Amino acid sequence: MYKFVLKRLFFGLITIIGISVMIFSIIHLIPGDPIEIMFGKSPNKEAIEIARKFYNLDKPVVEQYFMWVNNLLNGDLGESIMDGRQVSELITPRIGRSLMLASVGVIISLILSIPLGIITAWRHNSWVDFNLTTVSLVLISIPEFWLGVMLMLLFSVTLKILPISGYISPFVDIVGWSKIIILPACTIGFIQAAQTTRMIRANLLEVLGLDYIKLMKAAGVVNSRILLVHAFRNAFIPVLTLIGMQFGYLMGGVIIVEQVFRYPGLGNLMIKSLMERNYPVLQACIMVYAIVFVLINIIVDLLYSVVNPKVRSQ
Amino acid sequence: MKIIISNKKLFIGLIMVVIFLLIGIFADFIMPYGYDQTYVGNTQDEPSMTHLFGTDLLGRDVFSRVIYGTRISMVAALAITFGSLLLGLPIGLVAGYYGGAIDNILMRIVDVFFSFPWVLMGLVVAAIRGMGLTSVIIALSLTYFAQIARIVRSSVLVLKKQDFVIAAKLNGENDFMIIFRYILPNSFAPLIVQTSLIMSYSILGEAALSYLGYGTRPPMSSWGMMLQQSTDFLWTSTYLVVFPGLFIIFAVLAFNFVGDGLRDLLDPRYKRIYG
Repeated sequence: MYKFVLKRLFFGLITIIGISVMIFSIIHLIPGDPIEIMFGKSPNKEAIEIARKFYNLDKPVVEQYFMWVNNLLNGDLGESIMDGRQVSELITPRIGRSLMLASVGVIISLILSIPLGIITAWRHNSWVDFNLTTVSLVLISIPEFWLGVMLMLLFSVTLKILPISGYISPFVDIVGWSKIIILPACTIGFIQAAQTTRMIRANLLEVLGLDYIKLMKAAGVVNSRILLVHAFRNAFIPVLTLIGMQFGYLMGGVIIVEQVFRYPGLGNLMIKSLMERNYPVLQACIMVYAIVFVLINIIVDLLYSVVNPKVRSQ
Repeated sequence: MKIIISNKKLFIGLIMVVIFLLIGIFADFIMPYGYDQTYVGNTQDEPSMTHLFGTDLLGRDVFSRVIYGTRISMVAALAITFGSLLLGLPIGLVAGYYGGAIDNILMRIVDVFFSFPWVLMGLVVAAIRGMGLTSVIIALSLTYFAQIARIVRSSVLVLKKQDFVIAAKLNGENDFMIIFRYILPNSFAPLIVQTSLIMSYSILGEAALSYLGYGTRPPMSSWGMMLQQSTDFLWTSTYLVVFPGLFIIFAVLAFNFVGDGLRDLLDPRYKRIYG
């Protein structure tokens, strides 16, 4: 087990180093001089030299990389080009908001998909199953941004019962916060639920065909008990990894949904900094996403190995 | 032909795909107006006989823009799928055929790309190369090739143990010949299913990246960009968001139907389980 954990952590570290090199390269691969881009056209020569020294752009690239990593490890992510604020100060509150949105979205998706997955597997090949499966196929074809806009249209524009955008901290006003978060979280939840329902149904059907289930049926165990206790537990293990693998997809979805609802999360800041060519902020945002992404993958792998000993021995 | 008609999903999906491809190819003949032609004084007109889907905030004909967007979307999806195959096929074939350390190294790299969020990949490529359709194509090819590589590798792993491959090996044929004559043709079935699914992901991906603002650049029209430009006018002009959205959904659904239908056809076990 220790060896497995170490191996996973080692691969995770290598991935993060690879991604960090890639992110660091962004500023060096963009056509043109970053300082000139920063200052715009017809800049002052002296100012350029000072800025170049200030951002250490006069040193060799490899040295710059190590300085950047060193600063990163010390929590110094640089300053925003737009307003000179510390990048770390800019992104910290947004990480929490994005995580909150993602978690509420996943909870909504699980609340919907677990019962729906069980019902469709239980009533396999019935009209309920057929309809729900078709609906889920249509739902996975709907882009998040369109569903978000339609929900906004219905609840905020037509019915006028929910605000269109803005943000209130849950610690200040929990009711106001729920009103803000419900539409974006539902957008994420519905689309995720469509996929998770299909996965749960497929896995349950596979498990239901196994010998031990047939044996239990023959032995007279009640159907609902077989389904909910014995089959579901085994069917949920692969779903766990699939949810982990889908995490990248979820992260993308959250970025898009934040943009639709102007939700002040990390994704929103990242897109804004790309548009403004605010590279220090952009690099920091991508780095945070990459680290979260690698960490979640490691956690899912470890969880999987805990519930399925076969993986550890490989 | 009989098989295709008997499989409803595949049949409907194929018809929809053909319609979308035809719209893309003959966009110039279908569009009543130019995609970037503006009509001053006719901004945000409701749908009517002269402007089927209305006009947008610059007075451009939405119907023409949606039709032109079909071409952009189809070209992007085909290019992304081609790019994914170009990268994924050789990697999958080599990893599966040679196994061992090569397999390990290649598949570790593929794993990272497989689960890396495509929205982020689009952003990184846009930051490096500049925003535009080409960046979208590169970024999404870099994401979806991993699916191809995995599928191809797993079918190669099975195929290379088959008698006809072993016989070819004993016969002294070289690896290159074995891969192209015996292994590749036999791994087409799962590959073609995945390819049609990647087409649907690509349509969604291009629309999403254009919606976020770093995909297709104006004045070209793209479904995603049209949605982004009209979200602020939800109150007054709902039709501006409805039509491009419906086109995205139907295009994605078309390829999903084909992918699902093909899977039912090629893998009967899958049909029982996935419906």
